[in-house]
Amino acid sequence: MLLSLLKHSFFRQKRAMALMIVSVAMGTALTASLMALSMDIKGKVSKELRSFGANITVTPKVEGLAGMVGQKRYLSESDLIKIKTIFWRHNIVGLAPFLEAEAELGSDGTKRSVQAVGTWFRRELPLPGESADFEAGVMTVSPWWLLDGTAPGGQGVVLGSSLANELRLKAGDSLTIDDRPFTVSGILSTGGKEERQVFMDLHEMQALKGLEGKVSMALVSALTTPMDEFAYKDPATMSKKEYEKWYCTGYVTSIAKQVEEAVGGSRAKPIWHIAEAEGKVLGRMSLLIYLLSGAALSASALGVSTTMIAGLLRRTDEIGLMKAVGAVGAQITGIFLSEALIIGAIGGISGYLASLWVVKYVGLRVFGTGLESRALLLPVSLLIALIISVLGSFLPIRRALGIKPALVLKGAR
Amino acid sequence: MRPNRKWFIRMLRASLGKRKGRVFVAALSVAIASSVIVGALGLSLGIRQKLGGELKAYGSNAIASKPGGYIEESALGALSGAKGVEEYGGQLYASVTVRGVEAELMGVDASKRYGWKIKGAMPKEGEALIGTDLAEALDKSLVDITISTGGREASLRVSGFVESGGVEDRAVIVGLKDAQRITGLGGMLSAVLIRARADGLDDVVKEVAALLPGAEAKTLRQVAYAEETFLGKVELLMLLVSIVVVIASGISVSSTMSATVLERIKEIGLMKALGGTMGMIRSFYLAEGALIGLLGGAGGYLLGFASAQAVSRGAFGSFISVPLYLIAISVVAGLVIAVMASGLPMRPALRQRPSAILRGE
Repeated sequence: MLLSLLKHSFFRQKRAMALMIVSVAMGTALTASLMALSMDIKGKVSKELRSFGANITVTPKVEGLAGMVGQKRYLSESDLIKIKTIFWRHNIVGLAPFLEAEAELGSDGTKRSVQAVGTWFRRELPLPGESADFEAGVMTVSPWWLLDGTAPGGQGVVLGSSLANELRLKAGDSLTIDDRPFTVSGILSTGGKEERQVFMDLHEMQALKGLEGKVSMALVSALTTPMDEFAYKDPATMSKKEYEKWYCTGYVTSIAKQVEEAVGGSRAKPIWHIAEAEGKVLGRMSLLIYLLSGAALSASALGVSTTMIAGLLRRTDEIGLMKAVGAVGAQITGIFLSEALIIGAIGGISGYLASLWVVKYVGLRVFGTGLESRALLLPVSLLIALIISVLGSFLPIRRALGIKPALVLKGAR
Repeated sequence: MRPNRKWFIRMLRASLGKRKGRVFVAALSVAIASSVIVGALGLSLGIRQKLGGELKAYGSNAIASKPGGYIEESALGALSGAKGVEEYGGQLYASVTVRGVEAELMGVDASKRYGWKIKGAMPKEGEALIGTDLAEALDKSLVDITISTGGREASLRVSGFVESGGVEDRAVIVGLKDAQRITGLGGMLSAVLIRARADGLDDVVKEVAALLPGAEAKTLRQVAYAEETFLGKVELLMLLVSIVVVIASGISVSSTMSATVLERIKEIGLMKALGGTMGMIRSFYLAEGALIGLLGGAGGYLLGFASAQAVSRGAFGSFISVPLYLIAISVVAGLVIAVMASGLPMRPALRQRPSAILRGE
């Protein structure tokens, strides 16, 4: 009996049922998409925020007066690759070494003292034990550097724009640095101190200054977990268990600590204002998406309920007839609940499928990579669809039970 | 036409008045769709300003300095009226020697927050904040220091130690007034750090250069570039989410409206049988849809406004400015959804013969 009634509902009233299913599917698709987005938002936004540049500096350790006056200290270039072997190695997304020294720049017969910097602009580093190379260089830690021309390499050097303006040099011109001939390969604009410096390949600089294998500092860009109250505790005062927890969480401080341990004789420090701002923005963004998802969920729940109510309201006659021929409350409830469950199931599954497409498209357009769509979302969206459609029919069913068949069949409502 | 209009109004009143429950459901669903549109659009439009406020924490996005010279502090007043400039502050730098170690003296506005990690307090008058690297080189338990620059000497009390991960770690940081006194450069600034609105930054930089005679103004690309990239992505994200939300809720509402209309096909047959023309019947349903749309659209604006505010309060702790013209958009969206959703399912019924409809075919 129930089966044949259901069959009748779905096949004889295709249009009305289709409308309800579409409504449930749309609500579910919206909710599932936003849930997928909120699950992935922290990782994605944190990656985007790396465009603000490096968040860890690595410098030679300063110990007492000797560190600041007298002989300059250096880090070893070959140690830097070890940064990609720490516990949080997959979170290291950028790395660039710098060797800075005063040098004598000669052009047009005049000489002046400038700050010369040896670095990599872009360089593929082979990683021990891994097939993919690691892309390192200035462009991975300071993506805002605007280079007009080509990166330094061999005899090519890049001039900061202020320096180039003063010396009236442009790409292709030749000059000397410490009496060796070089050619200008590009002009660099940053808005900062780099505009007064001259950049060359790291190895060229090391050869020029007789500092083979040495660097004076490195910048690291790492994906981090935002600092919370626990993270601000001084690691020195932590208990062993706390220390372990701190060490194994991707805070900027614990990643810096691991970098420091990997690079001999170094001191690694967070760039605090970057780390702090990142935590703030990340918190705000994820909160925004959570709230948005909540709002969308309630809106689509309401929307689906109104569809279900509207769908049942038009069947008052039918219910009156059922009652007139002797159906009891439980039977009527059973019929409409099973209808709601079927609508919820079909709508939920199609809504989930639609959300897969939405999530992929939005991820590709905004972040360049698809958002991770999780299998967990299928049961969750199915459940949401079922709950929404059953809750949506609750009110109309209660009304239906109160219907007086005689009145309804007479046409009074 | 006169009797027609009377008939028309009577039918509308009866239809809306006697079916309050259904009208309410229809108007509610339109209101939900409109509110979603208003909420999503309001948030996408305001997100730049809201997040821009958060991104301030990344620091200044423009800087002004005079090559080989100083900017006079008195000239800064002109900046307060400049369009797009949100905040600015002068700093003074000088090379100093502390116990034989060369360091940088930075004079800053000590009442501001800089995002550094400070052990102790920002310097008050006669006090100095010491960079951690410098402190490590000198003595970690410093209490008083004497710094010398250009033949002048000054004694300062140490208010705390600073770790920033940048140049500050090797600097002695004091209040601007102290720096000017110590160096003998009263009323002078080495640089003016400016925080300007992210959009139209280039124009702001030009304006700043014009307002400070002889000074060079530059965009700090680190903050400016990253901010633009990031804000652009977030805006795009919000826009796409809004579009998805609008489409999904639009379809959902249309199906509600269609469901309420489907049941009324019999009514059409009756009207036709009683002599209603196609035009009359059509305009009757359109008018009904329009009234519901108007009601729903207006209610939707209020609902959407409230939800956008709730989200903004929750996420950013402050209200968001929702443009007033969204009322118009909301009402128009409500009208379009309601009229289309109630008009389209009618079309086949309008074409059928009344006898067929009334017979139940």
